[in-house]
Amino acid sequence: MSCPSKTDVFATPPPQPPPTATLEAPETNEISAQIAEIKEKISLNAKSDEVFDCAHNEEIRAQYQPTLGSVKCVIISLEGTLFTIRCHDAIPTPGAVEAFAKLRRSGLKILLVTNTWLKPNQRILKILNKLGFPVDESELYTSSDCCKMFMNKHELKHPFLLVSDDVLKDFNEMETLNPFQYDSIVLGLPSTMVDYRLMTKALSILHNGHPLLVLHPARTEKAKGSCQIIAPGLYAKTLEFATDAKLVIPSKPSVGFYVEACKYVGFPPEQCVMIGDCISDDVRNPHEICMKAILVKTGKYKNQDEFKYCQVRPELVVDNFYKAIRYVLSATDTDPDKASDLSAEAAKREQWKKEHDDFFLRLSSYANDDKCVKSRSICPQKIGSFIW
Amino acid sequence: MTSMSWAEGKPIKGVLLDISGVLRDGHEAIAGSVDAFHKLMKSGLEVRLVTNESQVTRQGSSDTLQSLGYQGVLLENIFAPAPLLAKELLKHGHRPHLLVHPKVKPEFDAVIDQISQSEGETDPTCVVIADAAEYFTYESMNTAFRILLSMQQKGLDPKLFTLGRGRYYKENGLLWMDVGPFVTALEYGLDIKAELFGKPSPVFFHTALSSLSSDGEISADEVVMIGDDIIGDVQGAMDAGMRGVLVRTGKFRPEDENHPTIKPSGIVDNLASAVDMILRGCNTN
Repeated sequence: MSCPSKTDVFATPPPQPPPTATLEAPETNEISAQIAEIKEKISLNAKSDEVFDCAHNEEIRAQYQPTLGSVKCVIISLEGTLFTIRCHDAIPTPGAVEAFAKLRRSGLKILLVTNTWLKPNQRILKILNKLGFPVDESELYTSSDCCKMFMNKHELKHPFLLVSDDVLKDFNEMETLNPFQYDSIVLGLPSTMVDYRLMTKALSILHNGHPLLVLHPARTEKAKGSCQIIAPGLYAKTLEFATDAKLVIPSKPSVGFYVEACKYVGFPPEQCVMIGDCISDDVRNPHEICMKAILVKTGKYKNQDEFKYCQVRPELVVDNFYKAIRYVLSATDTDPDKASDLSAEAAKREQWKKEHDDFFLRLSSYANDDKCVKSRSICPQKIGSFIW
Repeated sequence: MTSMSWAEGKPIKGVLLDISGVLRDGHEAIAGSVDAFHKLMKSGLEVRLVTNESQVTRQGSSDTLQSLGYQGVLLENIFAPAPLLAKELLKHGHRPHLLVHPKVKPEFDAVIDQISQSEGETDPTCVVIADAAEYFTYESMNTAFRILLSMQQKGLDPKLFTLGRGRYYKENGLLWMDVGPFVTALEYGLDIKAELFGKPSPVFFHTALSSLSSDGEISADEVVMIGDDIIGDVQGAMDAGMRGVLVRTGKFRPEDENHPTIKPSGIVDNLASAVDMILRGCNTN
């Protein structure tokens, strides 16, 4: 296994200097010096973000073929990887839509994974489609799917469903009205619904030795207005303490969830790569079952996260989902645009230069204004580390 | 059998009794307990009631017992965690946020008075959680959570006092959640540890012990605690150096007899047989 590298292979070739002729003549020396500085900064960023060509693809292939070459299925975490949430709006990470389309054409199997909380699967699909990620129902695997698989396997047919009315849709074939038949509890409700009576009812069911299935093991969640609120994981802890209940976590980041996800797509874990933004959830636990893992530096990624656990080394650490896909496609030699790469990339670079020339022009009018450079906001989340 | 010999050895001088599950089960007296209680009171042994009930005031507890036929229950002989904590809060000038049952709020009146008299800061400096029963709602839990979180964010020590760590209790044939699970949830959510006032905290047992005799002439190993909670009553008492006797009433479950870590000093059918053994000081085997 080659050592996963944190150095960026894209950084090695010198960038094409952006054309500067149109800008230089009318400016004074001072301003043009400032502009040159900004340009340099931008082209430095651009090197790692935008510039690709075939030669690089070959380099990646040579370096990552041994580790990622066998990948047949790409498993993708949603929030923080495919999109980030800013001011309650989901925004695709840079280039994600394009990369997703490319991935779709590559023929690799795609699986999106997330935990069910407030939204049923149908709603998640709708949101993804709206964001520009066309996804088939069979390509989304949530904790409610995993939960149902577990229940089938253990012949649990009458769950006490502590889930929101919306999420009930994911379980509609299982509803039961007779309280004496309950054989399990599914906990995934928005905690606004939890009250003492429901908890006491749950207590008596668990007392009979039935399992507690948790759809979303997070302790806290960001609510509207960006304040922290308590989430189902906290109530799972409540019930666990009350009864020594058998806690089943058919949800991310439990190892069991990843096992079931691989079974669901029908590939052995070694042929699946997980792309996500959390070193413990998206890298450490998938590694336990020999999945490959790519860490992206978006979402809840924090500086140096990839070195947080000395035993956990992702196969690859990249800036974002877009680049992750580029690497995977190159390493597996499945890039659908390979043949036309040269011309397409050249055209793309021209386009990029054009766009950025405009940008430079605009910049020159407020060269001293820092406001145009905004830092990315990251919302860290607390996630409990339940292991199934 | 060793479990029968708890009433032997050093003579017993003081008896601590749990209320719920020993004297009464919900709104009914447990069979034989009323007579046994009166026998015990007449015996001249020092008797205190030690409860974690944080749903009612001591007055409420004693009224309920009286209505069930228990005579001679004095308010000062009931040890409940709320008054103890209220004293502690007063001493340190804390401004508590109370997540407690409205019926127990009067125990904290003095603390609240103190706050309303003082001017200036109004932000709570600690959270007090007790068995709030149906007042454990999402809203109340979340409010407590946010208060603690904001303390944490301000770099203050998020103080959480709990009046118990019981898991559940049995009342009217049903199991009900106690305060323990909810405390655990807050602790887990914030990565903090709550400070326990009440059983099974040894401090609480020691307070009850020191009240048994004015000059400390009764030592811990001369005291027996009788309760239906293997952790709260039995382990707590034994940790404090007392004898811990488990009754097979209240929330007792058969698997408690073979608890992996806690071996009670004795296990008896009910309060009546415990009192018989104490008074006879004999080995029933």
